[in-house]
Amino acid sequence: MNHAVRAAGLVLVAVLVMSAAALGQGTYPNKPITFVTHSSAGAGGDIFLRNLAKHLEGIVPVPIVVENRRGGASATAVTFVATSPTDGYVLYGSTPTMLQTPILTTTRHSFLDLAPVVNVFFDPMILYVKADSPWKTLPDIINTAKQRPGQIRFGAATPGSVEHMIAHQVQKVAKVTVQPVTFEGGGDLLLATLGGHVDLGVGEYAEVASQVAAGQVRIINSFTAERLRGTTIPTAREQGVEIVVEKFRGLLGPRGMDPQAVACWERAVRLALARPAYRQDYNSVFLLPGYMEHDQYNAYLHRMNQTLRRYLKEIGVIK
Amino acid sequence: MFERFALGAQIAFQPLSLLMMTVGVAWGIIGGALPGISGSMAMALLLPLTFGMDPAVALMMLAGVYIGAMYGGSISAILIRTPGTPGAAASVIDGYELHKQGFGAKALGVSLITGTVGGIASVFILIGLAVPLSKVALAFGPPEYFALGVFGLALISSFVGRDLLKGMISGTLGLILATAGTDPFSGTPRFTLGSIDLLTGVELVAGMIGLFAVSEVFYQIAESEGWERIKGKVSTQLPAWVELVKLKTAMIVGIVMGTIEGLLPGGGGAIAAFISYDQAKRWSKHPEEFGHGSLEGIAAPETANNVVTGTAMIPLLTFGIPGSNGAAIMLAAMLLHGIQAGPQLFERTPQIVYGLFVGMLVANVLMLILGYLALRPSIAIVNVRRPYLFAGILGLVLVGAYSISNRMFEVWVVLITGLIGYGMRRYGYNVLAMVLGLVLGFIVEANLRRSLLISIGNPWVFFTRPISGLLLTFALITLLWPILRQVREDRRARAAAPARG
Repeated sequence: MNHAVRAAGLVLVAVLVMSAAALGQGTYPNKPITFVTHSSAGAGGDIFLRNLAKHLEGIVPVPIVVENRRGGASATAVTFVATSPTDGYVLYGSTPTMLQTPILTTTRHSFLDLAPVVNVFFDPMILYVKADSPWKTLPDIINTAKQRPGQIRFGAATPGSVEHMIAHQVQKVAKVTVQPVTFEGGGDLLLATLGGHVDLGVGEYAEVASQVAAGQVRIINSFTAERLRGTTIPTAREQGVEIVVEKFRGLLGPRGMDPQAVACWERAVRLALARPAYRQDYNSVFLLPGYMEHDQYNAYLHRMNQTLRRYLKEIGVIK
Repeated sequence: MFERFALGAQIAFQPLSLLMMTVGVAWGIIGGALPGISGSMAMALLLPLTFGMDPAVALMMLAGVYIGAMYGGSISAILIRTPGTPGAAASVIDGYELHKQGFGAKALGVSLITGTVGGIASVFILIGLAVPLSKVALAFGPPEYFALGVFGLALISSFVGRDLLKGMISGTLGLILATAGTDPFSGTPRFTLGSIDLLTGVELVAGMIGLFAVSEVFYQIAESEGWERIKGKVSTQLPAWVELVKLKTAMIVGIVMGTIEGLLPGGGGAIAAFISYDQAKRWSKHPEEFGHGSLEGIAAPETANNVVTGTAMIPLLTFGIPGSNGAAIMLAAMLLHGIQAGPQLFERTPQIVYGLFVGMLVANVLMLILGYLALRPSIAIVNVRRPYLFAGILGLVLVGAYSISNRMFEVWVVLITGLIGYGMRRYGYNVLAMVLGLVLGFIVEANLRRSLLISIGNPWVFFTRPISGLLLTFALITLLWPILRQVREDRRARAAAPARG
């Protein structure tokens, strides 16, 4: 048994070393890589990149540095990456914010000036209530909303965010009205839900997981395409409300990025996602691996951009 | 319980843990003192270094940075009128005044000692009262945050002295500056002058550095005649024991205010520092010294911002929600080490929780030692001829401003707010009131609008909820008190005048 494990470990190490060597064969990459995020240190986008960088160690033969370029609601970081050399040494850690900002305002660059390289994760979005709430299912909530239109206090992030889009879509699909209440961060919203200041909240699974385990919060449903692995949480679709929305996290480079470098990252991310240590890490924070290569990712981002634009038009934020 | 502390102590007193905490505290003091590198940024810079460490040691080291930075922030606040961290903003008032009088060492000594007392007190509050206090955090909804913000704004009236009108105008300027950026409720940009750099608004630290430090440099250059050192002789005398004993009221005020703010996500120490400064003045036997070099005026805010280091861990450990930017980095470190913060942390990984408790106590003691060693050298650095000093300060704050987001924009913010600050001081307006407006503008606005959403448009929500109603009453008293006192004094003066004439 022990020998088998050790042998398996050795094989794995050998595979990793070989793949590292394979990646290092050409001239790329031969100097440190910079991952750029618009998030402040310690925020979601920053943690994603730092964790990814950590687990790419050994696969990518050069050091990876994470740089926080805050400001302009992602515009500063996008411009920085868009105007970087295309040799593949500067990559941007994407989130939906990158799509949202250029729709809301005029920016120098948008995601069209970037080259989608590879998507890594999806953040599952869920609807939750305080444990003592009378609601058990999404139809319960919709029924109450029908009886008391505009009275349910529906906590979500700022308009333009994925959370707020979900609040909007629930109203649209179920033909009800609720009172959306915006919060700056998922943590603030969770506290407000626990304190009874709002009736329900929408957020990332990871944000509420520890409260669920402690029995303080109940998850009504997820907005994923399929049930989250290892849980009994129903999807919105199962409950008769056809909404599938996810937050994506991936890497983008400047437009026209060297195809060889793109291919190199596709392979590196695929290998990293399969690493047991990384798998344990991302499973523990409930991230869904969402590997997409360049072409697929590009199409996905365009689709997502259209959805966001349509929603912002519907809520009257843009014309 | 006892075994758990023993377990924590076992980790905290390992040579490696002690070494890492010493490095953390030292880096925190340096980072905190450098303008533009706030406590949370100093922590974030160290974060990658902690990847390979045992999670308990990593958290202790980061807590050390956090604690050290709170003292570090007061070094630059006192010596060059630059709050190195937002929490040190209130320490500028009396600290810099004392330094100009030649008592910089005394001011730093008070900051260091009261900070240590506050830090240690907060760890005991954290250990003993985490669960009951976490209920307080839940009781604070949007109306309560709004009321707290208004209470903070009402302090303007007690900070500005005689010229209330100019003080209010200054505070309004700060509020106006705080509205620039993205509207928190529609998500659309407003008052950004078409610039994408202004989309996320004016960075608080940049505004503070400009209004306090750069305006002071401009002011000194324009108004001062000589080019000598700040003062002929600089005393390196530390505060005496008797002086420290007199600070106990101020410290108690700081502990209470710091505890409350630490519990509330989004605070970060600045509000507690300002409110405790004002309260300490109210309870002081010598309120007239405030603003002219009062040791109590340093003790209260510096106790408060160090208390925040401990109590900000309460929402982090009990809910998994950070109570400050510094605590947010701690949360990030936990996530990176695969530890889930939240209610079950105490049961699942007691070694981490209790290691952190003991580690924070040790880090506070380390801060006292390292802070003491750094005290006299830091005064020597600023004891140079004025041209060198001003050039040095400008260089330091501009580099610091650039480092906030790695872009030139904050450099311009610092210079422009510096000019505004200079103009304001020249014509008798109040820079401190403007800083208060800038700090509180967003909190007040966002929570006012959010409260009305929650109450479905009912404005009475602010008065029918007890905590919010109470805070608003405090705010009204704070606002009117100085005005009433002035009216009474004026009347007395008028009554006395004919008798004399």
